[in-house]
Amino acid sequence: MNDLLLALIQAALILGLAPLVTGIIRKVKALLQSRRGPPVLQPYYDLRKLFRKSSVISSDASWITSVTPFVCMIAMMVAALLVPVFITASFGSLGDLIVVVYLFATARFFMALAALDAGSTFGGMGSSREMMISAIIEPAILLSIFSAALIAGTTDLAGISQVLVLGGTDLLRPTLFLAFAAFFIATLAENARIPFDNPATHLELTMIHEAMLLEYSGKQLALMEMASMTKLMLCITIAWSAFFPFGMATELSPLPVAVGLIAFLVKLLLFALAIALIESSMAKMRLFRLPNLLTGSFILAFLAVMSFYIL
Amino acid sequence: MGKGVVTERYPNIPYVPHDGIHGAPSFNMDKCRSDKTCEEICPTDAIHIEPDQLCIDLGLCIFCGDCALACPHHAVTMTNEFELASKRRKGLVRVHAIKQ
Amino acid sequence: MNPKLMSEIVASMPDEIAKGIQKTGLREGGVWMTVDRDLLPKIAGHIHNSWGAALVSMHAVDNRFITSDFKLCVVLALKGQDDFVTLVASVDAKDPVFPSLTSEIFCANWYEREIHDMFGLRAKGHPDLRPLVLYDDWPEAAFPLRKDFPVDAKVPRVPRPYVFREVEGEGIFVVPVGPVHAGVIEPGHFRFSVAGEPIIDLEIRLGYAHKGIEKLSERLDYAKGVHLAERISGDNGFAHSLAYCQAIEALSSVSVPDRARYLRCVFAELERVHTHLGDVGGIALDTAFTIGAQHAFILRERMMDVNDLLTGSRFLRGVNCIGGVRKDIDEEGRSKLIERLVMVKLDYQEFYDDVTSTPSVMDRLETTGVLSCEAASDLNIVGPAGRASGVDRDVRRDHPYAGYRNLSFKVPVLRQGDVNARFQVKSEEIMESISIIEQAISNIPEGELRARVPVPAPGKTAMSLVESPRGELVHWIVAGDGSPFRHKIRDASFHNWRAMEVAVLGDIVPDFPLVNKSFGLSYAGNDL
Repeated sequence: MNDLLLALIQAALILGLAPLVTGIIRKVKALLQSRRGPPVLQPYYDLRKLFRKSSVISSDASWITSVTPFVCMIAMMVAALLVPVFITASFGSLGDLIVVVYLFATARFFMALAALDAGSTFGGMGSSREMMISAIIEPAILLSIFSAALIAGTTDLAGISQVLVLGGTDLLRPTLFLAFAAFFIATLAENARIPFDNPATHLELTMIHEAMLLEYSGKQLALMEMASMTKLMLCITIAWSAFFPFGMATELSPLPVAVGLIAFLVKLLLFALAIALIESSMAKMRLFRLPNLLTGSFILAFLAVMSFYIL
Repeated sequence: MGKGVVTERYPNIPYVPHDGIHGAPSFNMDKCRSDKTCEEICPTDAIHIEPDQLCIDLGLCIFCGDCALACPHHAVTMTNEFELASKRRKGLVRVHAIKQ
Repeated sequence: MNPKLMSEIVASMPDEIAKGIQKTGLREGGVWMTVDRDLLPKIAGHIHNSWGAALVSMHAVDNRFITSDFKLCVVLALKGQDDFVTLVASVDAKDPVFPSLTSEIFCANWYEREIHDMFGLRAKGHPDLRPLVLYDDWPEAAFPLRKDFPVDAKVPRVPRPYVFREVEGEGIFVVPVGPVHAGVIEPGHFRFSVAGEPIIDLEIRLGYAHKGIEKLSERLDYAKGVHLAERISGDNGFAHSLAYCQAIEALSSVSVPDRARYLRCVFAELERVHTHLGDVGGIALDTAFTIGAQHAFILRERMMDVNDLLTGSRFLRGVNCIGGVRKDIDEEGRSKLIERLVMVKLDYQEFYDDVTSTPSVMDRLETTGVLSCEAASDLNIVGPAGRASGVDRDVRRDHPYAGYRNLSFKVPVLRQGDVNARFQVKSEEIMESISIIEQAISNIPEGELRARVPVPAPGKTAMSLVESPRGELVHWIVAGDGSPFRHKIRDASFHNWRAMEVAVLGDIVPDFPLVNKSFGLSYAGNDL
């Protein structure tokens, strides 16, 4: 019961802070470009605006288009229950880290289908590019998670973070660093960031993630955008909780929880800053060079697993 | 990077345009002799002179400044007024009474 | 032009072609030849191929109410010389066909389609007579540029199919893009045939921004026509109005005061600098290198601000007038201009180094969108896009106008023809333009700003070429009664759009916007 309550609180925190992270990344990118940029809370205003609008759906679309926004959002909400944020507890009996990865995959699957549904060419191109990227990134994510699971002896994310926090600096091994690096690249790929995709582009021929959203408008677009922002938040939270959860509370008492919250916010900011800096310093890579980078992520994850056994 | 923010704080801080920009034309009705020079020279027919008033439609005006150059009595000057938006199309038409 | 050249040209033609020449003459614009309609393609082809002449324009004039025929004009620019050859053929109103020049001069393709749209003269043997700008529901027999077609005619809507090229094969998809795009840009339709990501074929259909400018111009006084010319292609407004003014000045045989000529150079180069800055920023933006792009856009804003300061208009509108310029640059303006140019020069060097030292950006720019030198010269590509593919033509150097005769500058020419080459050419041109402005502004002679130009007498013809930031543009005018009788406008984009269809072949679809931006073409200038 305690677990469920904590999981609900942490899920609410994830969902509530997700637009803020996107806002911070955009603000930092704007400042690096010598622009003032939109307010940090702009994504909230955008969502509020979209929720008030009615939507237009193509007459050629089927039930998949109507169902997909809900599938995506629900998948993210369920995943949010499974991820510990500031305390090493989550609703683990519902599923472990592999379930989280496949919740992401379900959302992606439905998004790709919905993009093809309306029969528009950009959606089709977006789907095919997304599938190409995800085909390579999924094994990388799984391997990097397995390396953390190997150290902790469980694939339940709460369990992994518990073991790592309690183990302290003894458990600080190269495995964790390599797996974190692999997961960082995977985060950029999963969330349509430069060098994989430009989230701020208006060029429909270059879009990967945005192309799949082109047919949506109004409330459904708000749900899809919210799902994307939540996915980014979840990836960041998983990255820290699975590999460097130090600072997280292990017991439900005021001081550790406070420390856990502050540690989480600081780590969140650091990750967001890193994403913004990387996005600003390079261009989007050529499409057919992306598998090289993704394979690099896979190799890092593979090395992480190897180093667990060797080192 | 490291250049600081260059975005201006308009409209919180008003923007002062350079002198001599082609903003809205202003008509000094004391000097106007309603000889219709400006109406004929205007390339977009934005100026209409009726017996008792002169109308300029800023929605048609292209701010070329031909009227200011052509007026023999120097009654027209191009000001640097650039904030000309209006919520209604009628709001863009300015009417000046002709002094007899 | 020396008369010897004219006789050399005539003498070099084989006899069966030369018998088509009815009359030759020398005018200020060069050689004029009246030729037989049926031998026009061969004569034009001979001059184009053997003398390396570039096709400058091909258009028709509706002379039915004067000489009961249409006149077909082909203007060619001789290579390496400041001379033109204009061929005029008469097309009978009762038999409105003429043999197509496309087999001899490849570049004539779109010109003939435009003539068919506007005048109804059919080019026999043309490979593709689909309408160029009037389609979808324009009725077949309505030809806007004919004299008996009133400007305010209401045309019934008659649906017409427009058939695109088909590419068939296993796994080939057709991706139609536009005219409504996901971003706020001008309308244009691009039909890709792709095999997955690589582009097998691209067909471009434009004409959505057709406004009937040539028809409008026929009823505007010459003075008002300057304002119309400035708005043909918004960001090249100064170049267009300069060509128009120079054509009218040539019609009246008036020479512009020296001070005005130098000032025209200064303003034309200012326009070139800010347009190129926008282009290179756009190239960086389309590779998602936003920091670099913003840097270039900030510099562009600084240049437009100095335009505003000097002339009261960010786009240099209202500066050109027939006979000279309307705005002067005083001491204070001059010192502010020089200060700003120095700042832009240093800052631009920083931007350039930034872009060229970021491997992810250079990887996107190199070997993308290659336009071979051969294709560029066959298609008569002009401007920086041509110079990046080996076409060594620059109107400022080859047919000097305004004050360019007294100014020295380099014309960068590269041969790789990829996006990087166009980026390099534009970067060098920015630096050269800054140097031209500095030269012009320091040596500017005192004097009048404008000369009095009498209204041109009807019947005379004049042409003016100007090197706009996009390339060579032409205004060709036959004087009428207080307004042009025929005003032919040809923007640089009219030639260069064809380069896009060739340059993207073999690249993948996501690279298309980058190639498009590297050419930096005008939709409105093309459509008129």
